[in-house]
Amino acid sequence: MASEEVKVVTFWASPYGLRAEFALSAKGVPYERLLEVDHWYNKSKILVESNPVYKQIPVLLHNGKPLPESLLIIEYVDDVWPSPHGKHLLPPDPYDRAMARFWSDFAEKKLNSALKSILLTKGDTQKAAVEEALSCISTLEGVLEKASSSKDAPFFGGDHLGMIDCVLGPFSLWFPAYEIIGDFKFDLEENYPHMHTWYQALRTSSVAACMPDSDKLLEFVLGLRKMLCPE
Amino acid sequence: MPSSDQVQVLNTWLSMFGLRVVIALKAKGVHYEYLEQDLQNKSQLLLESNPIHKKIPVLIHNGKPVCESLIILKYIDEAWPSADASFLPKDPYDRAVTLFWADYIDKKMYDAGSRIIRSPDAEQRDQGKKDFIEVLETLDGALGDVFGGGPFFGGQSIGFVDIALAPFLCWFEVYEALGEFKVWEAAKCPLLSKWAEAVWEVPCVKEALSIAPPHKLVEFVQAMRKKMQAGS
Repeated sequence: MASEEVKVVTFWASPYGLRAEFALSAKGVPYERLLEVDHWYNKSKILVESNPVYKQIPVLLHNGKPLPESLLIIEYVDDVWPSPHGKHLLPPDPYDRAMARFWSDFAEKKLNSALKSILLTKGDTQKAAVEEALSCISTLEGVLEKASSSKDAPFFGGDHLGMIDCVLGPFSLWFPAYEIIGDFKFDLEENYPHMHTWYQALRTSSVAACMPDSDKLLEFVLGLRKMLCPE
Repeated sequence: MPSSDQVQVLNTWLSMFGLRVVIALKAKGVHYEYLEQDLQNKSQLLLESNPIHKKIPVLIHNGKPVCESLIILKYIDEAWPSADASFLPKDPYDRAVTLFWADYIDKKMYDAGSRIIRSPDAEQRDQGKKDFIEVLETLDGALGDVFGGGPFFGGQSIGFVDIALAPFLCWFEVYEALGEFKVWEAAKCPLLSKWAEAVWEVPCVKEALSIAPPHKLVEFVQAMRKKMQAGS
């Protein structure tokens, strides 16, 4: 489309913003990043105006029309832009679409809240959060196993990235930081081989180019932990 | 869809989320079996069809379960497509905006309402009331600015947001009784108050909401509170 303008208002380390970028990259849609310097305490005019209800990133701006909420952005991107070689973010069958939405919601509600708790708590509460996070990974391992994931089809979307990959993938970038903060190991290769294959495949896929530098991200998350949960 | 379709709804009359599913199925003219669940004593069917969350509502279509009410609504709209009873607009942007507001209701309405019911002290209850009123006023603004003023969020007929929001109306009397206020006096919602009257008269909505009559919900909640206070 000739004069199409696609922008994402985001923050460099945000997994939510990265979901929008994964969706656009997976579809081969060129876009511009509008980076917030401080989206918590010093929100930009464009953020506040494009998302007056929540004033949160990410916001997709498509020819000036704003759309917040990362899960909605993923579905919108799938709706608007054609899928190269039929590689939809959401499958065509209504039941399969419901399952993709369900597992995306699971990653968002259950896994994310456990991971957040690892970041924000200590002691027994944190230990329980670690158990919950590993339980969620185990469930997702089962989902991949049922979908007969393989080296040729390592993603939740099969041989290409789907909605679940876009939702879960960005969280996985924070795994090394959670391991340090929670003093545990995901041990994907040992315990969750399908998730391990998925984790590796993501890092060499079409969306790898939009991932932040892993060292910088680690430093950022560890700094966040120090700030939110001082010793 | 063939008439050999088997559709079951696992729900409890106390859930506004489950009523969304009932409205949606009635709006599409889909025959279903309604199975009232006892959440204190969860059935094998519920535990098997929603092993992850063990919650209602669950839609079971030819043996395949779908969980989470807004996911179920999208599924119903896609599995029983019909030109004249579609819940979502055709245009992708309008569709995304509609889904945004349904998501807003999920994020804000239940929580504020719950705080009116469950808060242990007056201060927290008052904050719940304040937040609840703010949600209604925001939705009133959206109905005017985004959805053309009504009568429904879906325009001349009900759509996704109407179905997501309507069941909460059953609980307004509960919020009023416990919060000691009148919703439509406290909240400045000229459009939404008219919407509330109009949506309740839509046949599929009226039938669905008859599962949870407001006065019965008030009785139930007041009985529960007495029990809890006696127990403490």
